[in-house]
Amino acid sequence: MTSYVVALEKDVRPNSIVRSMMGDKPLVIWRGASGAIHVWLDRCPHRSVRLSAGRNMGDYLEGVYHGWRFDESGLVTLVPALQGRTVEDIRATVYSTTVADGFVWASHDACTPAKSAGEPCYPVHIAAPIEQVRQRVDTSVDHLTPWGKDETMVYPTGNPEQRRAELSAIRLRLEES
Amino acid sequence: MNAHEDAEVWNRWYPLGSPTDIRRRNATKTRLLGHDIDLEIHKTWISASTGSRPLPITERLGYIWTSLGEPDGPPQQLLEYYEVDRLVMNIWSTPIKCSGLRIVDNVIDNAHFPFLHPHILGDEDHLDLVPGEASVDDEGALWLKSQKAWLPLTNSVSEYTYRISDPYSVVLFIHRPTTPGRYDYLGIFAQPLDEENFIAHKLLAWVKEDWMDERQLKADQQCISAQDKYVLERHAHKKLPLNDEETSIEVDSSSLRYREWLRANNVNYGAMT
Repeated sequence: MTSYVVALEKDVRPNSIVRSMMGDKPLVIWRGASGAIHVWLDRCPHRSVRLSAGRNMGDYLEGVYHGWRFDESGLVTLVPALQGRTVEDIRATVYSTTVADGFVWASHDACTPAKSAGEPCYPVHIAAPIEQVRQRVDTSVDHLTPWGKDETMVYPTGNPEQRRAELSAIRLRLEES
Repeated sequence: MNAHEDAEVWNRWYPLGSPTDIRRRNATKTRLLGHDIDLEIHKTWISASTGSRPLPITERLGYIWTSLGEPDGPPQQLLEYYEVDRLVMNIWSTPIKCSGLRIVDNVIDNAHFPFLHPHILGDEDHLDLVPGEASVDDEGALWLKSQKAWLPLTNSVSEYTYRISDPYSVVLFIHRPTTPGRYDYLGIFAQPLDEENFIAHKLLAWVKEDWMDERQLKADQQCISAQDKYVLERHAHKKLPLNDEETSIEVDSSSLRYREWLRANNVNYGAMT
């Protein structure tokens, strides 16, 4: 099954929240108190407000709308309005996640990261479908992630300045065509 | 979907804004249910049309109302609005990026007060919510009566009743403990621009008190509405799910009742079914 890079590991800092995309799925990415990085669908199961609008409290993620608490496994552990009454089994949609070579990988199924050719660089967004981008870049050096329906995020490796210049040129050609 | 296919939504009155605002902005265009509306400002009235078709216009509760369909009677009424000892105003008319049904679902939900409006409409030390009674009157309006929640502003439990006579609007009755039987009113009337965008017209009609400062009251209410707008624009589903897409719990009884009422009335426009 396909796995995609969804963030740089160094960007997912404690007590903060990162947003990303994997195809048409909006993602919330956060690092828990255990140090583990979690990649979830960015949607509260209750009223579908983005979880990324909430707060990373270390042990749990707190929803902005009703203060629901999600532990690191994605399970709802507290609904404040219930005042201690039992919460039924409600969970965030959790994706299989692996950290490898400085990249955070995620997958709908078992996460199997590809090998990286070097140090991770900052991603470059290209407003073109992944099939078109794949024809222009070396996929042994750059990891590609579909971003919505028709766009692509390129997570490159190598010399940051050189790679950015190369990818910017590719982006210009693809977006102008 | 085309709003024309949804008779429950199509044949309703919707506010286009307060005449004062329309004149001040010299507004000539707006939208309603996916249709462009042309406004024409005359000396003593404002007219509206879509394409070359003139639309009915009436003024009520401080707003200009129109309909694209054939409504059964005039727009909803709130006679108390016209009582002489009331302070009445349009709090704001602001575009919000989600279905207008979402704001009704938001207004009738008291469980979010401590988190979205901390120390204004609720706080985390007082999470008690007393659900009220739900009923549908002879006119078909949904009433959610006597819901209670802690109100930090008054340092006491407040009582609220909600009247939903149109799918896209709700009138909040705030019970006045000092004068039982009288209420302070907030009306939230959505002007659905399309299925995923609306303009929230917010009306205030409160019995005048010595402490009231009109500008401050307006600013405070706008602050509360801005907090709601923040969340409303962050729904992953812009439309209101009437299916099982969202998980509800026991404290969501008002929301569930509203969604059930929408389903019973065959409202589809702006909803996920």
